[in-house]
Amino acid sequence: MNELESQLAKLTEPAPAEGTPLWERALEQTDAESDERVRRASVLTVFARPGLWFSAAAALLLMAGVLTLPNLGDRFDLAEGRRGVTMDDLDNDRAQDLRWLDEAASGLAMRSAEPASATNRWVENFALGREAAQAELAGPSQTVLLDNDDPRWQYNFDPNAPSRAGVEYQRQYTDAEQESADTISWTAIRQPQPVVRLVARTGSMNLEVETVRDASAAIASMIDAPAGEYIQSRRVRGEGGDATARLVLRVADARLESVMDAVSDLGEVGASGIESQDLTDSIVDVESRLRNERRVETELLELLDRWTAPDAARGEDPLRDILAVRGELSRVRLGIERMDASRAKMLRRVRLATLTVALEGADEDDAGRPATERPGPLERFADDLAGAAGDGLWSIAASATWLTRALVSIAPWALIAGLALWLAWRRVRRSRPAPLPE
Amino acid sequence: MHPAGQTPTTARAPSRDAARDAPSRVGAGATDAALLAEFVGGDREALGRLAARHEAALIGLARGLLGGSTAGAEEAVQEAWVRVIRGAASFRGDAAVKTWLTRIVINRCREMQRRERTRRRHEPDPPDRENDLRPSGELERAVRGLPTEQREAVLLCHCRSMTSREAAAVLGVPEGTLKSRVRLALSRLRRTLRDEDES
Repeated sequence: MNELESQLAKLTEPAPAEGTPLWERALEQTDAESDERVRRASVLTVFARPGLWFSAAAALLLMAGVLTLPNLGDRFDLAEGRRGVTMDDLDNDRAQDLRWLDEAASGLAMRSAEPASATNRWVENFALGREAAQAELAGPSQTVLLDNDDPRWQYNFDPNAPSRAGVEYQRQYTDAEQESADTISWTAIRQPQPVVRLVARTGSMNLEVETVRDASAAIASMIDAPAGEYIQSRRVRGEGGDATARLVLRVADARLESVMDAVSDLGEVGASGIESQDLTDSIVDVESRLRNERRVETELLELLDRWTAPDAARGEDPLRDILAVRGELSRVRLGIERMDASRAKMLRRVRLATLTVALEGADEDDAGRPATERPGPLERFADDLAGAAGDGLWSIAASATWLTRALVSIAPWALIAGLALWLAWRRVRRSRPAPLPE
Repeated sequence: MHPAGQTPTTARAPSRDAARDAPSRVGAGATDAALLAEFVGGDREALGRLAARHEAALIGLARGLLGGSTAGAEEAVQEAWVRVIRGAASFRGDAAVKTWLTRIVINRCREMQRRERTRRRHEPDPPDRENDLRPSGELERAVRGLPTEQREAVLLCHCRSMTSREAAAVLGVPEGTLKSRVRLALSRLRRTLRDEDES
């Protein structure tokens, strides 16, 4: 044995373990693990008792009940309180600065009531309900009267005040006027009114009719053209039982339901529905920006008038200043026109609802056949069942075809990837020998 | 090493109570297999007698495989005993008990080295640890540089307690293959050590 081999023998020289023999430590370790397993098993046994789970569930339910019931009570009180608040209550307690009413509960909601100390006048801010907002949208209006005709209680718009309802206004009065206000009837204010929402509605219907072309013509005749209603598109394809048609109508929002009812009388309705999109916020936002841009435009025009007047005091480079203002003016005007168009478009969508009607001809076999000769409900059911079974088989065949095509198209790549993985796995296996059998 | 078609019995150590009650039925000259069977039968001391025969040699082999780390070697052998305790009941006796024990130790050493490599990848320069498995000397470093098969072959063949036939049985290769691996390993070790001396 040479030196290297004797060194190797020394490297692997038997050596007893220090301290407790290793086999004893191993036994202690396995004993401890065994005890732990027993303990866990006993814990699991406890949790496996159904009575325990029932008790825990009952306790949880009880706790949930105890925690929830007072909240329900609170909510109930709150809701009642909201409904119970009247203008008299608010007038009687003006020390409190802010009063909020549920806008949905009252069309004319009070925002705040506070004394203006310098003038000893009371100032109240209101958000307007449906009528006032409609008046605002219809055209500029500076005055709105409530149900009472007392001129002291007319309300002026604050056009700069943004509001979710579209308009806010303010009333002011002195203490003396306030005293006499008790005699004023607040009936109109107390009446709950829905808050105006500017909603664009879209209806859709699928209809099976005997003759598609006749039904299409009948639907087209429902349009009230003088009121601004029109047919946005009308497409008819095919003939007889295979014919289909698609009409898109723009009808007055208030007439949407009645038109849908009339259309549904023309045949058998497969599906119908109405969807709504609330445009209130978008319209209010555009109007607010529009007002601002118009004010800017007015200011720029005034500036331009002053500079172009014969006796105007001009700066060092008057031409450049004037051109700059004109440039800004044209930018502002462009913005105004865009916003105006956007506002008009949104309002048009609110005013005219969109109704899409899809028409299909009745089965070819049924076309032209008297109603008495048509198949009964049982026959129809059997036909439908057979159709559904056929559809199912076709769908399986289509899926199988798709799957086969997918597999065939993936196969070459899968082969290459598999080969690469196999080579990599072999390389790893070579560098890491498999464990010896134990 | 489970017999074909036979499900291994649940591996667990004989209970402490059973060990107290079970009298030793084998004498000092009993074979390893008899001692293992006695342990499975409930005699915990039989394991002690088996360990008295092989534990020191196994620690020596593990130390060589783990680059000279005594603490690492003890950890590997303790883990091997745990495996023996759990698997004793399913030992069928296709190979000698010594071969079985040595294979378990080699597998534990491989696992520890793998764990160490992973740990070093995430923690390149760890603080001094008792069971740091980095080689401590020139020879240990050179041995660590050998491919696994050559390293195990050369260390098994130079264990004083193991013949080349036993070593071949442990690694599951013919004796000729084992000798070839040992020859390659020795030549590589000589080259590595000479290069280090010259540098």
